[in-house]
Amino acid sequence: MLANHYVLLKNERLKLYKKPSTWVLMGVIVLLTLFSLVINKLMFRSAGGYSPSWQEQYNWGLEDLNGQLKENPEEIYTAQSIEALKYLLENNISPQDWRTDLVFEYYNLKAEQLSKGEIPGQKQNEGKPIIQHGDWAKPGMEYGYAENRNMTDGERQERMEKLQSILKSNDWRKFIDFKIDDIKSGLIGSNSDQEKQVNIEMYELYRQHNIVPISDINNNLYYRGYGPNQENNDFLWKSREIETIRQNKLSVLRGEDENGNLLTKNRIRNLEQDINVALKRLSTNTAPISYNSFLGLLESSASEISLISILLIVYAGGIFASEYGSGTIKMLLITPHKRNKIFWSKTILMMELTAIALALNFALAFIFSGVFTAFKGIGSMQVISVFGSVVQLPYLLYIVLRFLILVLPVLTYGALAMMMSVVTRKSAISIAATMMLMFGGNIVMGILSVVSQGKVLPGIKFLLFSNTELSSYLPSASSAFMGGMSSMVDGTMTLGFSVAVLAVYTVCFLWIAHDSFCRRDVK
Amino acid sequence: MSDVLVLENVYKSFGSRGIISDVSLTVKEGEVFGFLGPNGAGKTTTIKMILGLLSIDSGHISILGNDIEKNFEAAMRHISGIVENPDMYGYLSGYDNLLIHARACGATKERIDEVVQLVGMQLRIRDKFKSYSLGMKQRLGVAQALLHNPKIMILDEPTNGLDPAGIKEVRDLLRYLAHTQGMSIFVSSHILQEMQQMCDTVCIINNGRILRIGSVEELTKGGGAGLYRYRLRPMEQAVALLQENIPDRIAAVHDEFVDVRVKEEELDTLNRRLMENNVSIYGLSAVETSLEQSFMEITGGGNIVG
Repeated sequence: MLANHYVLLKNERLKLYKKPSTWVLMGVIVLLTLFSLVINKLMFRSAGGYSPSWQEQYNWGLEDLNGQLKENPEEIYTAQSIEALKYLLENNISPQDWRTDLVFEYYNLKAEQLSKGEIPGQKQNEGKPIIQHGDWAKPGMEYGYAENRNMTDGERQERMEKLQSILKSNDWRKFIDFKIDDIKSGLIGSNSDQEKQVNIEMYELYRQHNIVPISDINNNLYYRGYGPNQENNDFLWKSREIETIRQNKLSVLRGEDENGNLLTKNRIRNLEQDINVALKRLSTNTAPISYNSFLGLLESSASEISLISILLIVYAGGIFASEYGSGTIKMLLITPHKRNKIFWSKTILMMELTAIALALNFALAFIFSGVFTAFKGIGSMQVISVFGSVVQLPYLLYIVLRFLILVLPVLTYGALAMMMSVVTRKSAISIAATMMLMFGGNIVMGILSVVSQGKVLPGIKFLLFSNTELSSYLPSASSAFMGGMSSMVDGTMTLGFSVAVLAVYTVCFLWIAHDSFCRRDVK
Repeated sequence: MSDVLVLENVYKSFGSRGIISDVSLTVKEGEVFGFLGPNGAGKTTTIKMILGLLSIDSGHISILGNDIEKNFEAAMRHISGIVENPDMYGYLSGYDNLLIHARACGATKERIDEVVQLVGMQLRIRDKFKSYSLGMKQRLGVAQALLHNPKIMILDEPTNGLDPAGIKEVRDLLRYLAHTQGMSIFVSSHILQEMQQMCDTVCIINNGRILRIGSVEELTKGGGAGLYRYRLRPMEQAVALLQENIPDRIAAVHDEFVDVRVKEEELDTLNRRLMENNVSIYGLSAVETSLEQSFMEITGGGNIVG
């Protein structure tokens, strides 16, 4: 019986693989894949490019400040900014170094002291304050810095001495203690006691995981962008993970995100999941995969499967229709085999063809990425949250699994094309109709989301188009950095749900195709 | 002789196209069965039902006792056919086309070589199907139909578009298969003369109903007279003689020939009479055979080209 089926499959293979157009199309796919890989790689190249070192940038800042001081010799803040930069250059304190923040704060306090507590910007003809309030003393990212810093001269003096002693000791643990004291005393503002607790916990994390904190690069006026020496180093990613944890915890506490949008239940779950991922990354010392590593490149290249879906649609759309078109369907059906056997032989062939195309695509991406990165870090581990749990696994394995899941919508569209092929019995119509549904679906979704104005239309999550973007459930090297995923049509949707919907559609399409093929007359 | 193909009260209707009602017929072993009818009479529909391409509304079709709906695979093992045209994959060679069918039917590679030999396609069998002439395609179609040694072969207009030599080849092949191999052949053709020469039994169908089934002799005997064309000299004397003998059956008189409507068995007497009266017969040909005549009478003068 099985041998019987195999004979039919062998026939289908002979018919497909001896067709010249099969190889022409396959060749085009391979060429396009290679082309997209080259483009992909070139884009990473241009993203690098030249950028000045931090010393150069600081020197530009100095020139600028000196110019301003010439025009306005009494300007105390400008003078102190110059002192700050000089100190940083002399002591070779890079912009990422946590000491940067202390240096800026010290000289700012000094300026305050010299100007007798006057806040810059109040005096006439004074120009812009160069060292600004609340912008420097923040390790990690933006902290709500103390609003009221009306210190007495004595308090200021005491604080300056403290800063000096920490700088001298060059001990980041003392810096952490200092920050925690600031939070406790209310100098670094928190909206509530709970938020205060979150902020303190964050600093504890640095100590707990032995992470040297980084300075607040975003608010450094004299340093812009990541220069060539700004590799994705160990402390940088760890600080980022801690910042993710802090932001997400604060968002959950406040019930709204940074942009003031109210959080849905699902979003809260995602935020909490990201917190767990970040914590696990810290505790297992698992660095995120960077874009231009072997695995990062492989992931972005191998995700390009839209070409394969086009390939499958073209073949699936023609596999029945071409037999009707050429009249060979009669010869096919008068052999001593039931029609359902013939149906399955064609379906299996389509799956086989998809598997070949996918393997080819993955192999090309693998070799290509390997050539550019010498397969460096091929065995790297990664912490990911999938199916609601946080797991650590070799990232290569995850890329393969992710790739296989991303293929599922392709199979559904293939089944749709096969159904069209049987029902319309015209290759061109079934290919065109399936393509239109595939590309038009996204347009329809776009229009619906505009029309519904952010509200969730009932039942929309059961549409095929709502479930084809599986990549939004599966973090990649790029989305892991961003923290969180693009919002789906409906907040209650999960990967399992979408896969189930796709499976139901696939089965329905195949069932209709099967039923129509087995029952309908061949006129 | 056992019954190879049996149709029992078969009905079929779809949309506006041809309807088959109450068709019953039996094809016996080693018999060449002619299926005759005008355009749209339901010939191709019936053939497609026999081959399982169309479903049957009611009634039964069985091949060697296997009902084609209940026991499709067993029934199809004994039947083969060419419907409308011998459609195959143009981009494949003749051999690959045969290979595909042979695998599906469980025929061996040796058998492929045998049937290729039988239809005389050895030299071109590795060429692409689309490069073949119509005659070669027809022959390859027959070769394909012979692959699994079927008990019955269904051929829909097998001589369509062939030149006279090709027609003769096909006719000889079918006769050989039927009369020396014991294969039954169910053939539809619009060339009546050929049917008369080739078939043992002829079935006339029109508007989806069987009008008459019988041997060629049965259908021509007692049927209407045929139309024959005489080329005679001297003409005047001949016409006078004919008017004397068969006064109201002269269809037309021309300078060179005269058409008469007589039964086949009357020709001998007529010829003798002409020759006795010193009229030379230069030619005698059938314009319309007696089968054609009975066909016209049976179908009411419909279009014969089916």
